[in-house]
Amino acid sequence: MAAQPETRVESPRLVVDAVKGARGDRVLFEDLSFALHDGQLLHITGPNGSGKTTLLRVLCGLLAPLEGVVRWRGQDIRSSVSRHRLESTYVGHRDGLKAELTAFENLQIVARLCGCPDGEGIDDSLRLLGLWEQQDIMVGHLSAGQRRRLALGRLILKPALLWILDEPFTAIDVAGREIIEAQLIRHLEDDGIVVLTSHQALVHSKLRDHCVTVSLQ
Amino acid sequence: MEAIQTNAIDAFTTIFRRDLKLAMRRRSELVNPLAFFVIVVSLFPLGLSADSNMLLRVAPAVLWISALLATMLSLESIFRSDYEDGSLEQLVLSHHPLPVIVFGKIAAHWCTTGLLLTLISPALGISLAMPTENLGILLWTLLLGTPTLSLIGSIGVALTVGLRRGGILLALLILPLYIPILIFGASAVDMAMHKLEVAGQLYLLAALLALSLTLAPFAASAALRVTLE
Repeated sequence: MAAQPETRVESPRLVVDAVKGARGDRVLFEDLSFALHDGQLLHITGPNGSGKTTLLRVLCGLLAPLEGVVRWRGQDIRSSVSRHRLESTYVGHRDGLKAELTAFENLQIVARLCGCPDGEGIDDSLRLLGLWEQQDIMVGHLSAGQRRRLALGRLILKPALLWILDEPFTAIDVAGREIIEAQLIRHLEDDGIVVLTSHQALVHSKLRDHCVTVSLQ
Repeated sequence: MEAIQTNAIDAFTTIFRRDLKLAMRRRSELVNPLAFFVIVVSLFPLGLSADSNMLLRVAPAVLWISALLATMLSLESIFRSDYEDGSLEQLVLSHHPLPVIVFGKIAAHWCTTGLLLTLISPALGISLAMPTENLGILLWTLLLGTPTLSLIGSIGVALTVGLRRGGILLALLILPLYIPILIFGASAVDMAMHKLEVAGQLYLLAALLALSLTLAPFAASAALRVTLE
C-alpha cells in the first residue's frame, strides 16, 4: 500500500445494506442495515431461532442474502471474495476440529492453510488458550470447553481484521472467558472488528465501550 | 497481512496429508472397503459352483463391479466427517481456491481406497481362476479407472452430504455415471483374456480420467457451496 495521509477515512469497513435473510422458507430478518468501523464490536442479540447464526453466515459469505448486499471495504463480498476471505476469520457454532487429530495437529493445519509459518505461533496460542498440557491429546478426548478454546485458536493464528464469532463463550469456564475477552479487547484496540452472537452479556467494561448491539426479533 | 499468502500447492499438500493422516487413524474406514471387496469377490465362487470356466467368464465383471461398489461405499468419507464437525465450512471459507482443496481430498481418498483395491486385485483375480498373464491388464484398468470413480463420486457426495440419509440417493446419482468406466474396464480385461488388443479401452479409460480430473474438482466445489448454503 502506498503511503496514505493519516486522515482517517470515515467510510465504514463493513456495511450491511438492506439485507434479507431466510432459513428455508421462513424470513428471519428483512431490510437490516448497519455499518461497522475499525475498532468496533457488534453484539447480535435475539432469542433462539431469530436468525443470529444466519446473519453471521451471510456476513462471512457462506450464505447469499436473499436481498441486499454486504460490503467489505466498499466491495460486495459475493463478487470480490478473496479479499474478504483473507481478512476475516469465522468461528462457527461447530468447532471445525478433527477429533482424530491432536490439539497441536489441528492448529498446525489451521496455520498451514492460512500461510502462517509453523512453530512458535502454534506454541504461543496453545499456551495462551491454556491448552499447553493438552497439546498431544486427541481432540475427541478433550472436553467441550477445551474444544471451544481450541477452535478460537484460529483467531490468534490467522492475522485477520474481521472476526465473526458464533456463541464464542459456549461451554467455556470463567478463566477461559477472561482469556477470550482479553483477546477481543486486544483485537479491538488494534483497530480490528468483531461481530459476535452471545446470550450472555459482555462482562468487560472495555468491551462494552466498543460495543454496538443489533437485536433480531 | 503479507505473511498470509501461501500458494495453492501448499494448500493441496496440507489437505492431502491431513486426510491421509485421518485415514490412518480411522482404521475401520481404511479396512472396510477392502474387506467388502474381498468378501464380495469371494462370494462368487461359492454361489456359482467351482467350475473354473464359468468363473473365468465372469471374473472381469465380478472384479470390476465389486471394486465399483466398494468405492461407492467409501465415498461418503470424502466430505461426511468434515461436514459434520464444521471443518468443511472452514475449508470453503479459506482463501485458497476450493477446487484445489477438494482435489487434495479426492487424491487422499483415492490413495486410501482405489489404490489399495487395485493393489489387492491380482490376488482376487487368482481366486477367480484368472490366468496370471492377464493380471497385469486388470491392474492397469483399475489403476486408470478407480481415480475416475473417486473423482466422479466426489461430485455426488458434495451434493448429498447435507442430507441426513443421502446414501441411496448417492448410489442413484453416481452408479449411472460409473457405467462407461465399468464397460471399458471390464471389457478390457475380458478381451485381454481372449488375447485381443485392448489399447483402445485403455486409452478411453485414460481419456475419462483426464476429463474427470479437469472437471470434477470444479463441479464438486460448486456443489459444496450449494450444500453449505
